[in-house]
Amino acid sequence: MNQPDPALHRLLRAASTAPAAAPVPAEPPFGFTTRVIAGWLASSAQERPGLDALWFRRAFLCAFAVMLLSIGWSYRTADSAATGDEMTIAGYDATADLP
Amino acid sequence: MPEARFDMEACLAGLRLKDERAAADFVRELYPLVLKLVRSHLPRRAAEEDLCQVVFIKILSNIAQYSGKVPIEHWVSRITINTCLNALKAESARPELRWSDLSVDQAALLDAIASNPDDPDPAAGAASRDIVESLLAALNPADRLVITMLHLEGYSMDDIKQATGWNIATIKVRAFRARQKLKHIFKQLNAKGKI
Repeated sequence: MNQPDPALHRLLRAASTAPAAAPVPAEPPFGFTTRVIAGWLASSAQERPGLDALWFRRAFLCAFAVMLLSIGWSYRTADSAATGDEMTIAGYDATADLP
Repeated sequence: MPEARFDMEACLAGLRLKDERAAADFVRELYPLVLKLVRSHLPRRAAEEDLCQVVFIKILSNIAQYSGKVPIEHWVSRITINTCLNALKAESARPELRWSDLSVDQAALLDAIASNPDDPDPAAGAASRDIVESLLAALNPADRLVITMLHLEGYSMDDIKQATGWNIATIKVRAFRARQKLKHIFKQLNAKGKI
């Protein structure tokens, strides 16, 4: 194994012999297990894909229906606006011919 | 009376059925292992208990993915180390250690190490560890991890492979590059100290 330079190697070796700052406890602290279990149950509740998919499908169908309605409505108004214009032009011609 | 041996298989079966008691037993059994790993690879500003909590929630949420091909301790170690690596990556700042940041004792220790070919006094272990940790803070998370495991904790290449999932060649290359970077940082620190 390629070792670092001698001084750095000595520093690393000295650091590796340092005792642990605090001993590792055999038991988790009070309340830790409860918090973990609560987090676990909350995360599994969020992971239910069926509910999200159902809401997404419903929202998509509603949005699609609104889109179809608005397209149909805009065609209808466009047609009626065209008829109105023709009548306006015809009316204008009729008034323009008068002495 | 001898303590009853912990039945991990039964505990895992309980976890798959979302049994809270099995989860509590599981956390109690593996807490020392997770805490030890978290302490070794803890980002500077993170609280070890918070990171342990994140690790356990991740483990419990993904327990269905545990195939049983490797011991549960290896699987747990891998998740813990990856979680710590992600936490270290989230730390954007990588502060450079300057000579003026060192305490009087640390500066004296570095001087002694640089000038004396013998190993320093064993009592200086904690000060050495502080200096090394400050030097390692300037490395990227993967480099820091590999140096900590290989040189400070005495893991073998195989142990690191088990814990991280990296192959031996990757570990060797990463360790080599990390040592080069550390050497460069150490030389810079010493050079500035002599000015």
